[in-house]
Amino acid sequence: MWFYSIETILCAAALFFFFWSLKKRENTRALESLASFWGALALAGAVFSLGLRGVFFNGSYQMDGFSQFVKLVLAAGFFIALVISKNLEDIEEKIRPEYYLFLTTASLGMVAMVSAGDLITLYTSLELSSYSLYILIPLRKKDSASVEASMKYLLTGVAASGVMIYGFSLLFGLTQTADLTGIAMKLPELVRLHVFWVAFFLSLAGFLFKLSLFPLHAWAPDVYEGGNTQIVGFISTVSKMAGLAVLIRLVMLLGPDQKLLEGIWIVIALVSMTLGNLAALVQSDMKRMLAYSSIAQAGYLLIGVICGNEKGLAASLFYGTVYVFMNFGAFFVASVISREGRNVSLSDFHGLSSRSPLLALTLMLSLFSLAGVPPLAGFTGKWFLFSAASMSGYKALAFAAIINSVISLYYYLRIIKEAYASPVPGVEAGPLRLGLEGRIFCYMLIVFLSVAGFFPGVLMPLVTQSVAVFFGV
Amino acid sequence: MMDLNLLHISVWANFAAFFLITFLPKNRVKLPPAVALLFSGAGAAASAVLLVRRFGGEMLEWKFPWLTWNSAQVNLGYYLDDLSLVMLTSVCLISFLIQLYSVWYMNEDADKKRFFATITFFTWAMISFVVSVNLFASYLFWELIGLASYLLIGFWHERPAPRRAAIKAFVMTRFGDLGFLAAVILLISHVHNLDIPFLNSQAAALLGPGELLLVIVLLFFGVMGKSAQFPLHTWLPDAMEGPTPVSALIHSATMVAAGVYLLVRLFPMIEVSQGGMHYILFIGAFTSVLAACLALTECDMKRILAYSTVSQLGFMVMAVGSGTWHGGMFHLITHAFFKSMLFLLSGYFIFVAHHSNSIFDMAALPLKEKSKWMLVLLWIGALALSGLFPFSGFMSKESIFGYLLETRQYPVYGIALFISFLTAYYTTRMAFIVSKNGSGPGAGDKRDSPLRGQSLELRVALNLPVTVLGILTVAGVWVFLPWHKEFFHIHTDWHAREWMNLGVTSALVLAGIGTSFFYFGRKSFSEKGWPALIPGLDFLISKKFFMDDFWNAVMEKIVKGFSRLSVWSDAHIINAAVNHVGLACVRSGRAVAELQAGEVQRYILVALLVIVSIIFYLLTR
Repeated sequence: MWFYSIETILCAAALFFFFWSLKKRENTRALESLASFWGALALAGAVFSLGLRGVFFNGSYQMDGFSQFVKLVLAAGFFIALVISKNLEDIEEKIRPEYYLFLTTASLGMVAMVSAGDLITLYTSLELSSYSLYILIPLRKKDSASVEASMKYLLTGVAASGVMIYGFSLLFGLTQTADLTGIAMKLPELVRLHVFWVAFFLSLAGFLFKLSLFPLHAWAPDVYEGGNTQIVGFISTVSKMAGLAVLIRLVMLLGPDQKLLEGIWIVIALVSMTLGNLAALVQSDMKRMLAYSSIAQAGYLLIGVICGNEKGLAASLFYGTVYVFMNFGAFFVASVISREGRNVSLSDFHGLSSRSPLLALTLMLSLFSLAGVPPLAGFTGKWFLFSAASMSGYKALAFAAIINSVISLYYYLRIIKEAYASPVPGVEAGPLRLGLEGRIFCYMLIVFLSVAGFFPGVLMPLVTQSVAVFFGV
Repeated sequence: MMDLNLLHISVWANFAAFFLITFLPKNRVKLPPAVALLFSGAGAAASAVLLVRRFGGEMLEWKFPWLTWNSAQVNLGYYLDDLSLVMLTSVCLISFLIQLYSVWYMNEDADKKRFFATITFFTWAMISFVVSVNLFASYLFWELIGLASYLLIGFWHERPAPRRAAIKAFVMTRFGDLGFLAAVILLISHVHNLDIPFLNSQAAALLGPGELLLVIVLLFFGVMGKSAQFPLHTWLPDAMEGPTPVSALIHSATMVAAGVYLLVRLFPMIEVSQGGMHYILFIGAFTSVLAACLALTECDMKRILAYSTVSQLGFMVMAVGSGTWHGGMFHLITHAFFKSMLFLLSGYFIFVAHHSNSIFDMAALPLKEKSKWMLVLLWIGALALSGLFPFSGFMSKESIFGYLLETRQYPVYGIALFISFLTAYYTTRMAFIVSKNGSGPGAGDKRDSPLRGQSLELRVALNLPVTVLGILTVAGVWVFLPWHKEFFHIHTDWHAREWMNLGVTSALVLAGIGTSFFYFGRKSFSEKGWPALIPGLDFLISKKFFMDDFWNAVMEKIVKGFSRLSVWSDAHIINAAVNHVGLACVRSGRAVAELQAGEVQRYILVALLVIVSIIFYLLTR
């Protein structure tokens, strides 16, 4: 059973890229195709291991419905990242194998993270993914900004890890166990202690960082701006999804007692949303704008966690899944438009609708979906989130989130306006040509966003089933 | 299972065509018609097979849940009983024939891609509306039909008239649709289930009589818009600015029929409300007479046909309101065939008359030499529309008359007879004048075929559809009679009453034709006929009974007054507020972004401070 699971495949892929990087072969095209192949294999592995259940290594690694579904989404994101990592103009050819290697190890870390059953596994897998990403950011060639961004990423990450590790040590000291289920068993005596709540909250710092939630959000704009577009897309989607999954798992350990943290969560969600959306209004660099937008989106994702019930978690997971796809759509278009891998500003979108109608459509649908325009998947996801919030008694929060998504519409529409309504540029910007994979990706994305939005009944049962593990079903 | 697959094919074939055509490269001009014909032909064939296999059999229901509200659920799916089956087949067949005709008609047009994409999209929406199992889905498709019609009427958007007509049609039908939407909302909140079979069997019992009447009046508001009933009928004559195949498809055979079809579809629910039925009957009768009068002196061939469409739709609505949905539906089907043929013929005659719509310009042409077959077909269509034996229109009108007599609704019977007389009169007036066979200016060489230089395919594309429709008009009802008579409730055992009815109606039709011959059939003919002799009538007709002025006044005074008020408040209150809110947002955005100065030590410091304050919060609460 285990040999076809996604973990095995990612390990094999990592080894493969490692040995390829040792040989320093210059055959980039073959490497690109092989990378896509590994991505597809990982996705297939995730599909096949969707039904896999079990507890391994004395409970430090567990596969349940939740982890397997999240892995499927992570694998899809990994696959997309590999498919759109063609013609990486801003990464030197000789280090491309390393690029794929670290992308793979980052994914491996995230996959392990969502299955982690104790604090040690959680920490190591988190760091495996984080360190891979720290290395990926400065791979961009001849760009001091990317090195600076990487340093910021690393320092903030390390700070967050430090806080988290401190929380872990407190937890361990309180409970004498690193096992998550063990901690959960001791809860009744713990919830009365103030220090437990401090420990628990500190333990979440690493995942706030992953999700780029306030107060650990500040790295995002600089890192997004400095990093290579594909990697940034990966960080803002797959990494976030993994962070969300672990956050859900940890918070659900508390059971009904998690309501005691709701005040903090609400503040974090509101500040993240408002701050992200407001700051995104004034950005002119596409990636920076998307960075702020992703801070705001993380705020939306938190709403379902605040609700804490089955409906809320399902809504969060649904929105997270959809978010992976729609955000990747926006980053993909940015990566195609960018000239020689440079950063994309708003004016680069001029006349996109005539340069490549398909790309313009993909961009429009992705952004509309991010903004929550019906009948796209993003709208349906938001609908689930906000209705879950108002049904669980958080009407004001839902209202604030709705106001926020109205604000966000402005900056998403600005990009669409540039793409559709601006004058056609001169000769220097000829038609954009998309490769076959690019076109297939666009079509798949368009179909996914409309189908998941129009027929949420296709995806929703999967999501509901996977969060059911937290409610003893 | 096979039937379901056939149904899938007939519903989705046109959508597939639309989808493919949209993605065809722009420079392949021959492909869009080919794709459209191939797919809609397949759809029509599938629907025909379905008709043969299923007609008279049990109904087919296939659905899945789509949306769920608190207690209400919306399903998507098909509901195929004999009624929707008949309608489905007619729509598929007529739309295929008209798409074939469009190959000829749109031959010179540069933007075939857009045309065929829109027309297949329209056909898909119409078919989906017909077989939809749920009223909410029906409403969605109803709106899509409206959208497609807007796009098609305004197809030649370079010219101002089609643009105006398209907007007028869209706004007026949308206005009616509001009623439909309100009815849907009302039903969903009171009945919780919008499946059509459920509505038909349960809704009347679940709603109080007052609510039921309200639902019917609101629903009928939508019907007034789509089926061009008084007072929302004025958009239809103007919609003739669209390409002629569009007029034939949308404004005679399918879209405008949607309203009547909706009434028939929900007949078991509507029937319960006596008041609702009277309301429908009254509006239908009034529309029918009014539109027939408007057609009396019209000179534009397409407008004559348009008014006659409004009048005939009113006739059907009247029939439904009087209680015979069979008669209304039967007339809907026969009318669809001969009226679309008449429209297609008008497209041909307009082409021959150098793009003039005037029947007097056509009268000046030597059509007898040039287009004998087309004239024969024109007369077949005209006589069918008049309701003369043995054409199809006769059968369907007869079934309505027979019912009215049987149920002793004599006033309605009288009105129907009057309409029948007017119809025979104005229709044959058009036919008499068009076949005058003059040799006026611009007639050209008599032996010159108007189709000179056109290839064989184009000639087939022109002749085949009209001929098929002509044959169906003459022979269709009789060939299929043993087969459909039960469904349409046609009597075949005739007694004195039926014979008397036949005598009276035929006499009136013949009187109409005779009057028309008296004024227009002979060598010297007048332009307007007897309506000119009645003081005031001619004036009223030329003013279109002031309905356009009425709506203009409504638009000018009430709507525009309101919109001026809205503009003012928008500029001074809302806009100002929005601007300030927006500016405030942008300013605070700038402030927030400036916090992001790029110094990582500050980021971490802020983060840690926040975390520490959270710790304090946790420790002190």
